[in-house]
Amino acid sequence: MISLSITRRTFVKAVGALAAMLAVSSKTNLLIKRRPAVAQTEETLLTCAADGGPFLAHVVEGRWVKSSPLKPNLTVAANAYIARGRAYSSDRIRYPMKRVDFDPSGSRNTQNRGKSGFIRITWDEALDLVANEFRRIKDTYGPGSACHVYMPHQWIGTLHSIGGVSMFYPPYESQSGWLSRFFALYGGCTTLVGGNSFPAHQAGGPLAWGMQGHTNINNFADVLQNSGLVIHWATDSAIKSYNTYRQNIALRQLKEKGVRQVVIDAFFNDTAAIYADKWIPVFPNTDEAMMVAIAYVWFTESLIDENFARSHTFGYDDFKSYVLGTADGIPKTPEWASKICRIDAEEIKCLAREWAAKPTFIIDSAGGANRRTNGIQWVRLVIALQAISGNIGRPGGGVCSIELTTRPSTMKSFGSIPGMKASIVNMIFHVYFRDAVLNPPVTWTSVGTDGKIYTYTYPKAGTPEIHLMAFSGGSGFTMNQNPGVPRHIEALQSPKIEFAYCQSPWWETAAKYSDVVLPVRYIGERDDIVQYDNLAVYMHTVGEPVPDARTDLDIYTAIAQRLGFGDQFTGGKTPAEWLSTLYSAGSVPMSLEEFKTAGYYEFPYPTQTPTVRLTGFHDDPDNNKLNTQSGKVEIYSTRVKDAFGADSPYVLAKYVPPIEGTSSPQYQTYPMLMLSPHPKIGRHSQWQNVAWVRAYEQMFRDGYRTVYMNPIDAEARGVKDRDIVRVFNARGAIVCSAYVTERIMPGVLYVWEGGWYQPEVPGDRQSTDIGGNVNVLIDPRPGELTHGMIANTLVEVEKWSG
Amino acid sequence: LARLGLLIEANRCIGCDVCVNACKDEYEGNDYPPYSVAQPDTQYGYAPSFYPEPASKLTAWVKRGHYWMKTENMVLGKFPHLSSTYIPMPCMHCDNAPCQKAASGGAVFTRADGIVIVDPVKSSGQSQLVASCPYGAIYWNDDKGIPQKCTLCAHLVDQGRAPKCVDACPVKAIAFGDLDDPSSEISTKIKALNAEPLHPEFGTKPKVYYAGLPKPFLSGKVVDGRTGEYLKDATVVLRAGDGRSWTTTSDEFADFEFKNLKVGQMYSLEVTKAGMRPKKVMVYLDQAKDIGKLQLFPEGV
Repeated sequence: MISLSITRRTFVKAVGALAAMLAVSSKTNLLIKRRPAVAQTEETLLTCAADGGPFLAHVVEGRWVKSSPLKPNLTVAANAYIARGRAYSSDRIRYPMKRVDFDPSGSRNTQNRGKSGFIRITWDEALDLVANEFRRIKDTYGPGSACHVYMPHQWIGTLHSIGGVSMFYPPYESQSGWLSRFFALYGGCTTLVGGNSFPAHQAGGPLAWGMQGHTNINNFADVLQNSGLVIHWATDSAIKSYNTYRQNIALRQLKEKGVRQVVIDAFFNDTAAIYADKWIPVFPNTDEAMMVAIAYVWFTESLIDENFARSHTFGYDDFKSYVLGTADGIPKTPEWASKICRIDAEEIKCLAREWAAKPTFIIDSAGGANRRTNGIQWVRLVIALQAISGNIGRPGGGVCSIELTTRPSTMKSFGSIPGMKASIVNMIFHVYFRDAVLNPPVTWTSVGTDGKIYTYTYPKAGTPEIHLMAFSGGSGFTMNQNPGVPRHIEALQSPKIEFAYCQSPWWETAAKYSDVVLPVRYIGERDDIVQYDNLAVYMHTVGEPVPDARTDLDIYTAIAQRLGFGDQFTGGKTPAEWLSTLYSAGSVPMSLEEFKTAGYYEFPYPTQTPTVRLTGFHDDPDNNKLNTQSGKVEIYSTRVKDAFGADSPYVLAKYVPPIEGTSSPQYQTYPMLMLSPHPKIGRHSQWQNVAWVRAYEQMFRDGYRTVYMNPIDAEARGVKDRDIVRVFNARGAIVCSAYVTERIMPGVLYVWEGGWYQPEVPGDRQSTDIGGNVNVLIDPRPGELTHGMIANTLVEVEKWSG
Repeated sequence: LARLGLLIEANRCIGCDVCVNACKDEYEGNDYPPYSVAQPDTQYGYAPSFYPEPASKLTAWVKRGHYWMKTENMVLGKFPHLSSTYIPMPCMHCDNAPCQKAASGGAVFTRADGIVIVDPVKSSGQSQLVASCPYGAIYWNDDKGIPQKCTLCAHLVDQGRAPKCVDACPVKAIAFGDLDDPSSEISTKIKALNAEPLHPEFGTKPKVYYAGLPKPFLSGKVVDGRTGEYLKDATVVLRAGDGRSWTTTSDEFADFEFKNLKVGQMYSLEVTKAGMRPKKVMVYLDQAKDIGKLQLFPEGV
């Protein structure tokens, strides 16, 4: 393997660009070449698991050659079949490497991050370099000058997932696992915070009903038994799930029982095509206009029990006066809404009548409508409308996802690595990374998970700015998945960031823009244990595609040893001893050795019985208060009024025009609205480097990310199916393959998020991104209060000449 | 003796391509003599595909490799009245296999259980097999100089297992079994679901059957001609020229839809609702379509 790479470098220099490309491809593929034909009898079958599901790895001569279900008819997740492709990907980091023009004792050339190549160094050199920089930065600038970045979507394993420090939502207190121990012992850190996944659920839910917006209050057994109408709102429930198998059984049960299913989405998604009775294509970002018009129908046609609605909500009369237009002179009629959301006014009335007439459950499996600047209004209105129509706390009502998984009561969780409380000196809201580095201070305000409103400033008075970036624990992801990618690259190339290192299995975006990269072992390359649903699984080592890689845990242990706190970091235990400790906390009725041989243990899958939460609130709201200021569902928020003034549009749950939409000035130049759904295979940017995923024509064509567009829009731009096109706005441009289909609403584009940022000229943030990363185009400015920004992007599209 | 085949319920397929990836997982890099040798690897990258190389201008590329199982999305209708169906397509394992006729030297043979195999040794150089398949199921392996295709996982079948795609499908859209055994699950389902081969007109007698293939539909909406209000629970009857007829009612959104129709013929559509004058229209169905709003007027107006 080693000689191969050296040959390759020499070879590339000797030939032209195209020949080099082919040579690279064939040579790198030698690394994934398997074995000559051998008889099947030499196979060993070992259990393993990827995020998404367990599987059996077929191992021949130390190589993982294919995967199959744990046993026939036990369906595994899609990821299990492509996990081998991810392990043997040509994008693996093979050795510790250093950027060629990075000299820690001389010129650091930080402006060349992402531009210049890397050379191999030894593990000792690499670890010494990283440890020295950790020490030097802290000695020079003080605690908090090292910035830690991680992602919760790590390569799985109870022992080897390394946890992290302070992610997601205010008050930003979560800490877990190995990373919390490392930074506690190191003396604190600064950390990137904020989440893109459920920002409005996290902010709007506490305001509206005192808990997360996507809290299940009715489980699936109840929905199946008692719901009359199920609304899939901005979600493709059939595919946006990590348990596709059970999820689709549930959807089919609903269909076969005849429960009416309606899909509201700008895309004719697979749920709409296979399971739904009705598809309502809504122009993205305008759902709230339809929602207040639905309330208008309820009020004017007396379809709801007004006494019930008033007794369960706070701000009912303010809302009603807004809806009827007594406050602002604009009645929010279906005809008014129709002009905004592009849904036929009569259809809005039909939906309003059916919703009011039946126990109605609203599914938001993937959070699509919450992920935008006004997502908070959508979340609050979903809860408000469900409260007004009596659907909170009653059978067949409720919101959230299809809650299927019930963990067997006999199945106890494996243990977790005891965290330590690291001192979080500063936090940087991730979309403000660029401004925090280049133009501090930055300040932001956000609703906490407790419903209180928090304001943060970076850096706090008397604390240092950041000078070291530590990317680890799924972090390749972070730079790629942060709206405004080129802006953040600009910050990463600043001399203020004196040192950046990344440990990852793959050459993900953060790795490319680092000074030192360290190769990490992926699943199947170390022993671990994991639990899914009712299964406990032993994850065997099933191959060694990158012999020089080490586990995240090994790497942090080695750095900790160099910094003088190795023993405290490991707690004096070896990984094998930790594995035994973690295993003992579970309830698998066999020894760890026996479990390793058995491979997995199946607890009986419990039968779900219908459960409904908040029935007390439904029956007697005065004596069963919600965790809001008023104890009711709040349509009007006193907290928002106190923080932002009575004139803030966010005081009331209502329609607020989006920052980027048909009424904004840039609509004249960029008249297409881009949606960026989760990729159909993989998880965000993760798995997008698997060759089989790259060949999946729904998401990639001819090497480019697909952009779905309606024939009307394509024709108007002279674009044909499979043309290479440029999707652009004032923030940047990406290259995609046009996927012309009637399934997408006119005026809307659909580009799967997760494309790997690949500027045509590497490291040049001005150049066009041929990786099709939507975050190049998405505005990093968060909405007031919400911090969701994904579906607010106006763009234009044209044929690309290259 | 068995006659092994598949039943694919296209209307259950969510287009996740797990079958495709499971197939690639089984056959990329893996030989199963005497039935198959490894198919070419799928490859992608940017040149240079990743860094240790100094940076230069990047170009995207992908070599998609073989698709012994593939899926196609078929969309009928115009926005917003659509049907969307994914059609998984392996080798059809025809009883009357054109590839077998096109082969020389016994390069293609049918096993006693009906599985059609392209012999990876004897087929060397026989590129004519690729064009012989009307379903496009045979691929050329450039490196090895052989035609290759789906073996219905004969090596797994020999071990008493189902083909990999059958095990992998998360929505259980693919069934495997003996078509000659009338009591087998697959035979029962084929009968119950009125399953059919893809392109029976090719005359190759496939052993892969399909249920829920996309068929033309006729949809519309019933409205009050005076107020524009949408009318639910109207009775809608569709009659074909041959005397057959179908009845439905307009739903909560006043929509109605007839599925599985034949194109190229006239239909008459009659809408009735209590208190309204009945309405009758003639429709020539040239493709899946929505005929829009049908206006009813109150009796006596």
